[in-house]
Amino acid sequence: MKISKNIRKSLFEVEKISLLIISVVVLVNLGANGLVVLLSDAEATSYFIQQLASNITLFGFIYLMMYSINQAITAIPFLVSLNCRRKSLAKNVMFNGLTRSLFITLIIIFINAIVFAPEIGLDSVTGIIGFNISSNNPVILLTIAVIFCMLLYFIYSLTTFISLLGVKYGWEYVLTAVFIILGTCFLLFRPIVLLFIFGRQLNLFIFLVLILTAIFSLINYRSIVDFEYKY
Amino acid sequence: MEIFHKTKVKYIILLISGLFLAFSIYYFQNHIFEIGLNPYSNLRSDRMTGKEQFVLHVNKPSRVYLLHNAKLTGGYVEFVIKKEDGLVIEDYRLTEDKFINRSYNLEEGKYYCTIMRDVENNREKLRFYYDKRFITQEYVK
Repeated sequence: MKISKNIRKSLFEVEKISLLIISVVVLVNLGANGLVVLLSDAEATSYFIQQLASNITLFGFIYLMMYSINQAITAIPFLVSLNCRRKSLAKNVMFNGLTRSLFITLIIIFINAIVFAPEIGLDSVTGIIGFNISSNNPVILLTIAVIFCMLLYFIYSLTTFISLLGVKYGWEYVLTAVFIILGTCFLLFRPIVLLFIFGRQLNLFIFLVLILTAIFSLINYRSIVDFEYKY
Repeated sequence: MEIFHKTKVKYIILLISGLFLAFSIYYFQNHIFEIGLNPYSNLRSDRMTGKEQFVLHVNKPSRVYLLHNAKLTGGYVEFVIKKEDGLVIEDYRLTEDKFINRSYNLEEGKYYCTIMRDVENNREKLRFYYDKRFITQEYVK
């Protein structure tokens, strides 16, 4: 229990850097958008609120990616070099991703609930994955939250996997993975449009995300347990 | 797993993935124009009246998708899809906020899509998707 707590503390030291960088980027971005409010008319306020929601959604993903890369290239080799218990470390890395995904989902859903409240009257988004995001229906909000959380954790597992691949086998595989992901997105552009706007094949998408997340988590667990410090 | 540490193997895999990316970009360039998202409109006005009509020429049985997020304070929005022989595929009239997400299987032929509006404080989002390989669109008014 104490070991696990110490690992969490060490991992948080790395997380602080990610948090600091992402906060600065979000603040600068929002600051620039905030200037529009100062220099323009009342319409700009709703623009700023929309920017706030979209910025936090986007940077939620970027933060998780940054955190996982940071962990894989600095915290894991460092803790392994200190003979930290590998299984505890692997479990902590996975558990951290899950808690961060949940936390970011909660923030985003909370902000969206405020931003798209009928009193504010914002209506920038038609629908996302076939759902009405400005709806107040708790079932729809919960469904969106669950899908969003799954997607966040999937991105976290994927970036951890790619980072560990890079650390273990070399940068060439990182580039390979990026090429394959980009290529797949280009090839499947039409289904992606249909999925993210109309919610077409949503069940298949959820199934794929779950399967891939499980596979990546398993590989990540094994990779951390078998990690060799080579510097 | 030792084989993956060899420099030659690394570069061969990288080259193959690079070729895959190049091919996928080529495929994307050739197929991006098949995506028809029309009308793709975000309407916002204090008052809106009138009729919008377009024809879909379906050359091969295909599926079309409709997403309609209507927010209106008063009045109505009506959406109708009718085949040239008079068969009604879709007909709905909205008098309050509603979110519509539907898809239709269209057979070969000509389909008239009409949107009638007499709305106050209209905040409307409309996304209509079809495959341009099988369907062509023509605006009537």
